[in-house]
Amino acid sequence: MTTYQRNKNSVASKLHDEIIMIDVTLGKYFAMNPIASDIWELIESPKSIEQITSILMEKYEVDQQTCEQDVIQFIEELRTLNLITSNQ
Amino acid sequence: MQRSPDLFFSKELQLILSCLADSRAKVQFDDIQIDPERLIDLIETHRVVSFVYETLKKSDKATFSPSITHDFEANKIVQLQLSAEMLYLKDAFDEQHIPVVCLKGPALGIELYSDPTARSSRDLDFLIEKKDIEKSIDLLRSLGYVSQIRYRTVKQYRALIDHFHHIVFVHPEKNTLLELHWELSTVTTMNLGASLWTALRNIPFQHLKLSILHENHNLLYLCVHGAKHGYFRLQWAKDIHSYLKKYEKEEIQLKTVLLAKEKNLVPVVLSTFQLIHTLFGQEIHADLQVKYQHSRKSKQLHALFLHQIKNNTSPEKSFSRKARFQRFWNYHRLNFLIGGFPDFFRGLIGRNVRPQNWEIFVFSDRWFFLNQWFSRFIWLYGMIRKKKL
Repeated sequence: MTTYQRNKNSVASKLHDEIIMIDVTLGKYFAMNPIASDIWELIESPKSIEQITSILMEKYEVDQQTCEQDVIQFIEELRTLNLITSNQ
Repeated sequence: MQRSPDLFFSKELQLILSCLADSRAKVQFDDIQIDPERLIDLIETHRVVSFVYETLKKSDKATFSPSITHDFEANKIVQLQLSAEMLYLKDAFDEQHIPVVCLKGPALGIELYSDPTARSSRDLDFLIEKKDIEKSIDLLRSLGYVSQIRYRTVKQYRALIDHFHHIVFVHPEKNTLLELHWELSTVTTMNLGASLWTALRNIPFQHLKLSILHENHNLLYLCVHGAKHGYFRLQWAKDIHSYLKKYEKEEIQLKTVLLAKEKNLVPVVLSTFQLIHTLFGQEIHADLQVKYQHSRKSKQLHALFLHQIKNNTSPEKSFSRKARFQRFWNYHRLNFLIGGFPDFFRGLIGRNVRPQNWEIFVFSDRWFFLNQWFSRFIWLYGMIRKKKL
């Protein structure tokens, strides 16, 4: 099962309901909406797509398929930006 | 020790102090009596936007100015950028095997508030050992940092490390300021020697461990730093208040006074503790209260701190002739009260050691003392030349 975890090369902080983050090497800023912020907080320790989905489904009223698709899409974005690492 | 009932602080300053005293509490205030512009000016001057915002957010009358929210958000971004740069630089120093201690800034935010963005800093402060000065300067230059100060001869190097305790570096693209320290302070007796380096603590931050000062050393350093500046920013007093609360069980008050005794800095610590009591109602150890009552110097320092805090209320007036004279007078008075005659004279002589002048005109090492005698003229010549250009 593949798990995902935050890259340690970024610094993040909560601003109102969102998380703002700066990548140390790129010097680029990112802002995350509340749901993305939840995912970001979850992957402080390694988590699989299934684990993230099930935690989010407890918090938000959303069907499993939609939730999983959104999580996969967001994780993919983070991977492209090199903000997370994955372990198999 | 009684808390002074009437400090003649403005309503706005009193509101800020209530917010700083306990940021978890709800502050009751009548917003009709508060001048929002003055409040914002004060928040910026005292660099306390995060603490004030967090408290006002919880207040019943959450109708505070949107400017405070804006300042809070802007500060968050700046602190985040500084934290990232601290991480980046710490990594670079580690790679070169240069031991570095993070002073104040985001590191203190992590230690005291578990948040590197909680404080408001404009720069990073790194402490290195004297033997690593050249290596560190080379490293910073290779990373794109520049400094107005350059030394080219042995005498210039000696003058720099004898009269100053840091060099300021700027990264023009990142717009980041870094102060590279080789001493904690210009206060002569503040030198902690080898014990500083053997008693360091590590705090985790992302994948790195940041070295910070031992808690007694750090509190003494914060007291001396704040006192040297006459606590004209309340953030420094707030940090010490948080420090006293965090390490209360470790009897930090008594231990720091003991350390201060070794360094001949007891009045600095006693006056600071009294200030924290006056501003925030912090309980001070009974023995130290007695010591304070019997120390004339501590009382003079305490009065001077309160004067500075009360009068640092209008940044727009701070460039007036009167304000400049007041700053000059207080600077030398503080030097005298903190470090006695040695620091007073060091402060006077230090004003004439101007490494910036070395870029305009400099006497050779043989006649190096003339640089001090002619420093004002060289500075004036530089100004005229600049105007002509």
